[in-house]
Amino acid sequence: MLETELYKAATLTFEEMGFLLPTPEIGEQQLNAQVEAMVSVEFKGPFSGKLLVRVCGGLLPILAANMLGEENVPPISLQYDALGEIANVICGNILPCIAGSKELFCVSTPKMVESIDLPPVAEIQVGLGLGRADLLLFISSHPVLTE
Amino acid sequence: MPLNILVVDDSSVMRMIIIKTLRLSKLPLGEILEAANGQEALEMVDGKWIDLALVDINMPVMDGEEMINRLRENPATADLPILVISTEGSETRKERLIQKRVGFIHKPFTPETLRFAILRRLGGLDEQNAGD
Amino acid sequence: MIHTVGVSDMKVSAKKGDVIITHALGSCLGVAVHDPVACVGGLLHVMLPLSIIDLEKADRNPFMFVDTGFPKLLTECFKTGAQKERLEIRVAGGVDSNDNLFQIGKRNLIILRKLLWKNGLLVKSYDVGGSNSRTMTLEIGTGKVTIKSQGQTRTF
Repeated sequence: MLETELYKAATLTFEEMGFLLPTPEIGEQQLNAQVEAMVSVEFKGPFSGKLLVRVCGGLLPILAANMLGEENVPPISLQYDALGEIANVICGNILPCIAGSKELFCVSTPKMVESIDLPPVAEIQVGLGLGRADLLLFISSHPVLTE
Repeated sequence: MPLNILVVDDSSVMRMIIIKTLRLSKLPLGEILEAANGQEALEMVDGKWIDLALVDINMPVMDGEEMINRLRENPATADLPILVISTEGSETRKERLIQKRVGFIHKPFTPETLRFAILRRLGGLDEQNAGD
Repeated sequence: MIHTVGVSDMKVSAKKGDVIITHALGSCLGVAVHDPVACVGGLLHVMLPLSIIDLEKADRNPFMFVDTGFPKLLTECFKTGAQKERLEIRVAGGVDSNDNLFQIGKRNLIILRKLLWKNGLLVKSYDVGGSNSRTMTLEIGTGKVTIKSQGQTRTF
């Protein structure tokens, strides 16, 4: 099931890179947490699509500081970069689970986005400390022509 | 002898993580060069001696695979120790790169895994994959 | 002399003849640190990842939690003459098999790794996970760390 694979890839990445302790249960505070940033990573291969990762509730600076092993909050550009790399790693880890290990994908550079334009094929929420991360996976129904 | 190391990844944060690990690994470090894509990296190393390249795959302008192909085509860098640090999960691509004599570290990785893989690659052993 | 470290406990020594031992490392973590030049070492047996769940308890016994116990282990080692650049760190325990719901073993390890990274420390070796309890021993004179598990002893 896509949600299960997405959750596994997300928890692995948040644990190993972000040194965060994920929980599937979302408390009220986490549910109502304010959105801080959203990043999109596009992929093209036997099918195309994108992964969106949205963080809420003060998670962004903590994630970046943890990844860099720093006490102080990194500048916002590095916070966005950190979130982008998290999305990149989750995306890279989930694609073989969906497509199999033989298929080749091109994964684009992460970019910050403001809105969601399509309904996702899979969506999960991960509780992380006082905040949460939402992951939305979009898959195009048409195969992409190889260049 | 100090080691000159090239770090290529489009994420500044990932380059910082890799460089921090290099510094903590107690390797005799010389110059650490950073690049955000394969094209930038090739321009940077032109005429410079590099002991090790740590390379991501998915990057804009020129990806890691193309960069590695160019390095291997150049007699000056044909035998350069190269470690791919990537989320790349495709066995197809991995097999292509193994033919180019590179090592692999899969993201996410622990700093100890990276240190071990670097020491192994500099030691010139055959194994292509590093793990915890 | 043999010193036994219990659960939520820590011991540091600079005496070459000392051996520090801790038993029953299940989901708990055993963290052994040793400076081979100063011949100073310490062993921590820590139970839970984050002290925020009970700050009063953490105040009474910092060695119960990774995020208070590990920094204290380092501080005590430095006070006794160890230097950060020379520290050799080994970690054991973190079992989760009977505890899959809360994954305390894994969580202990994540928080420890966060602190190690933040403090610029790499671990010499890990003997973690699996399903069996471990006994960990640190010899101050040599820095040798051994693990005993399921009747087998190994140096790591």
